[in-house]
Amino acid sequence: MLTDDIFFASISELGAQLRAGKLSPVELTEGYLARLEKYGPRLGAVVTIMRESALKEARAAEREFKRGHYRGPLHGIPCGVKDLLATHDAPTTWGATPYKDQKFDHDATVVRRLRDAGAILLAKLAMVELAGGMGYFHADASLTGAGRTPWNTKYWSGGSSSGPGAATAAGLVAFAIGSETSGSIITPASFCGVTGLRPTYGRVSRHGAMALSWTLDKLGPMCRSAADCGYVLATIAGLDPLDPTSHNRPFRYPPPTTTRPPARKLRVAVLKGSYEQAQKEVHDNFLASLDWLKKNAQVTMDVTLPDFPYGAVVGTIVNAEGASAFRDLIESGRVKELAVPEDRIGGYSMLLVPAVDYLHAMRLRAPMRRAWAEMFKKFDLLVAPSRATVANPVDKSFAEAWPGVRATSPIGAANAVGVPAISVPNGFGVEGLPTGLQFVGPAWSEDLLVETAARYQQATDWHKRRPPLA
Amino acid sequence: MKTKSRACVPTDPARRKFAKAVAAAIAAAPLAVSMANAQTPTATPSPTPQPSPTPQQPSPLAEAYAEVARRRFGDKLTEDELTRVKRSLEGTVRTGDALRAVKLQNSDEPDFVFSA
Repeated sequence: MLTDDIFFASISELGAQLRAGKLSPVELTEGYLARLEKYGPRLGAVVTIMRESALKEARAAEREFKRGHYRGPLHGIPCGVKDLLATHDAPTTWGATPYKDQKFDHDATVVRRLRDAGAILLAKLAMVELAGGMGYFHADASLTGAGRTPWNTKYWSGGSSSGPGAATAAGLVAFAIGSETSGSIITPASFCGVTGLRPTYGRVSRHGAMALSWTLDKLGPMCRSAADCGYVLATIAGLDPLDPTSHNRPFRYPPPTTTRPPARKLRVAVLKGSYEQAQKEVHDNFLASLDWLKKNAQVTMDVTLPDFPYGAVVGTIVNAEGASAFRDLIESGRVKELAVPEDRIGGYSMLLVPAVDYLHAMRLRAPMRRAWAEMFKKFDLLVAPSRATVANPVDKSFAEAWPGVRATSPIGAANAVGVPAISVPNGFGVEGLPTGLQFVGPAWSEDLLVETAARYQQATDWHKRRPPLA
Repeated sequence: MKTKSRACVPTDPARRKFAKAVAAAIAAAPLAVSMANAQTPTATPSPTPQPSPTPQQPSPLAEAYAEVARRRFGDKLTEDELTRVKRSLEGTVRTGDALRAVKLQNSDEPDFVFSA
């Protein structure tokens, strides 16, 4: 009988036990499957549990271990993926009723890379329908109902990577893959108290992933530590001929010593307006995190972002590209099958975004990127609360959830310019719900982000806390 | 340029019929554009976003877009849904204003690359 210590162990701890023969991948897989079956539905975290294929993969891993064949750090490690990644052996629903029976004959590149690395795919995890592309503002905008954070199931797990956040936090998988167009990894990571890494646009192949916005979509790991994110990103990153936007920028974890950050103190910018009027506990936890940062970095307060209409840019791009991606669904009227009323009609106005507005937004991205590159000449990282509040109550619309809280967020802006970010848990707020801290870096700075977040986690234990799953 | 545009003119009856049908189908779109120009003079040196209209009074441009929505999707939407679409289109108008408020140079290309 495996204990909770195993289900909440890190990838490196699990790997060490698997390689030493102290833990069987079949036993580990059985244990996680049992937890997925027990807790997954009540958290609204699961779409499809892949029991048969997972056990087959686990038995194959066990045979390889017995032969002494070790593929790497993810070999024998059970995981889940957001249900927008194609898999040849399970439906891929995109979290939406119109696609509930959709099947593909291939694996997404990320899934293929995980399987090639020996990871065991346990489940397709829940998500907001169509990754939130139709403009939802209720937590239950999903084929599987509201995702719930395991810290308090009256509250949302965040979106749109709801299942990856909740399942990872609850120890139902060792790690998960989420996706972010504008906030869909950072938000559930914060609301569920896990570590979420949004890579640079182009770092990870999008082949086989549902397209919401071809120029904004990113895939990334959601784990229980920054180090785990490093292992997973190193496995899924890299050039893919099937995704022309993918790059062959090296990312290795653990990093070779020659690429470690310089010995000088990090220069960290604190985003003005991101915390001052945030929820009280978010504010207090953020200041406590800054105290740690100030001991280890040169911190500059009240830094503002280059002045651009980020919200308008991201909104216009998502609306235009999303409307194009789902034009058939909208124009056929099948969009009416979506779960919440706002998603059933959101697409109609999206279809009317003027082409010149879309192009104007796309033309703004180059000067925005240049301005951000200038900003990152002065600072190594930008820091802000991951979200200005804890998770929203599932029974309220987003506008009604936490009235009176106002804060600037770097999420939209950073997605518009395609730079990476990592969210780590940094304490708790009202109702026992976790809060998060996000580091944002220049393009291709994932090594620095993972290293910084890992150092923060060496000094704190927020990422090791476990939710009450009675 | 002239040659190019003349080459696009449909010459055979079937294509003329098709072009006529398309023109009829999008009849409302030029209305929206012309009203947009009327509401936001292009001669303004520094375009600024218009004040946000109250939810009860959508801007004339949003009203025009809503008429496009009614003609294109009216058979799939109830009156209540069309009203909500209109509110959403008001957001589209304001977003467009916010984008236009940032001046671009002719040399600023869209941030994607086409390759042959």
